[in-house]
Amino acid sequence: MAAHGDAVARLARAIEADPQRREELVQEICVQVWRSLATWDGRCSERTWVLRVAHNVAASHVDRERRRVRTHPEAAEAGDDGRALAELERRQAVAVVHRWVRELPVLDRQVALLFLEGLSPAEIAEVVGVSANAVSVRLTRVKAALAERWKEAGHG
Amino acid sequence: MGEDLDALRAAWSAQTVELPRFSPEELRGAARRFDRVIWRRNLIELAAGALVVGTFGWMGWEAEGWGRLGALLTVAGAVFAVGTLLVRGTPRGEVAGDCLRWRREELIRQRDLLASVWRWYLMPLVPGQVVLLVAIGAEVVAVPGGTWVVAWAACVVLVVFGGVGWMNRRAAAALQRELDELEGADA
Repeated sequence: MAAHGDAVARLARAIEADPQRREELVQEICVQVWRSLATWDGRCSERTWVLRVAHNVAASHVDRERRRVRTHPEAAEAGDDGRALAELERRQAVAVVHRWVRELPVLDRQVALLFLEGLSPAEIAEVVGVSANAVSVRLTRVKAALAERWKEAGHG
Repeated sequence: MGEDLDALRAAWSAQTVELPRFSPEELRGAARRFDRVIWRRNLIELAAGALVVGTFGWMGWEAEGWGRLGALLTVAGAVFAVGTLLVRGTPRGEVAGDCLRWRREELIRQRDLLASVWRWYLMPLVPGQVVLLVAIGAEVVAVPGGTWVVAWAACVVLVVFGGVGWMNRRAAAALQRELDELEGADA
């Protein structure tokens, strides 16, 4: 789990703006990974296993949170110290991507986040459970939108 | 576009994130806390059921004859509905299965639960409500305007039940649309 902790933390940050809810989500993912590892049979890599659990728990979390009326404290999160301007801009651009990702349908969101984590189409296909061809089709759309958001945020 | 995406991916990976490092004992503690969160979440969702059971349980205690029977039937219906929600209201799929299968199973579970709300939530309450209305009707039929009071009460029950059924069917239809979109996901 330690080896994939950063990916889990970035996933949680991408889909949950509220810090307290995010902590609960991370805790739920860790617990579910820990509990499910007893049934890991080695047919997929450990990373695929952890990412599947993390994304499945995250999808259920989004379903639950949809029923709640709440505010998103994203703006306060984006820049809160005296770091260099470039670093602040980069963080704000990532925050723009976070907001965009939260609006996506579940499968597109999963494909986008796994792409950002550096997975290949074949690896994404293994986590999501669709063919590599179907992932490639989705990725074309997702990549174009991501590049657009990145430019809108003042980069590129 | 390629350079933009490389820069975005680099910025993505460079995010400062901290995942708590859990020891096995801390994980067990986290699991217990997580179970308590689930329990509290269920309690909140079941509060309405508890209110119905409490209110009609008290009525059943106080009333006699048909009134008592109607109240106790309502309590039994509410217990059945709450029990069904507990059993069918939580995800049952393999959490480490692929995301598409998990999503599909979840949508089907939620859709079926919402679409069948008449069978497990509303209908079990109907016998108690009907008997109660009959019992109240028998009491107030001789009072001027009593028939209207019962007719109004019956209308309120019908509107509430119909509204709940309609909203749940609408929600089930929305889930079905999402399921239909998923069917083409692997194309």
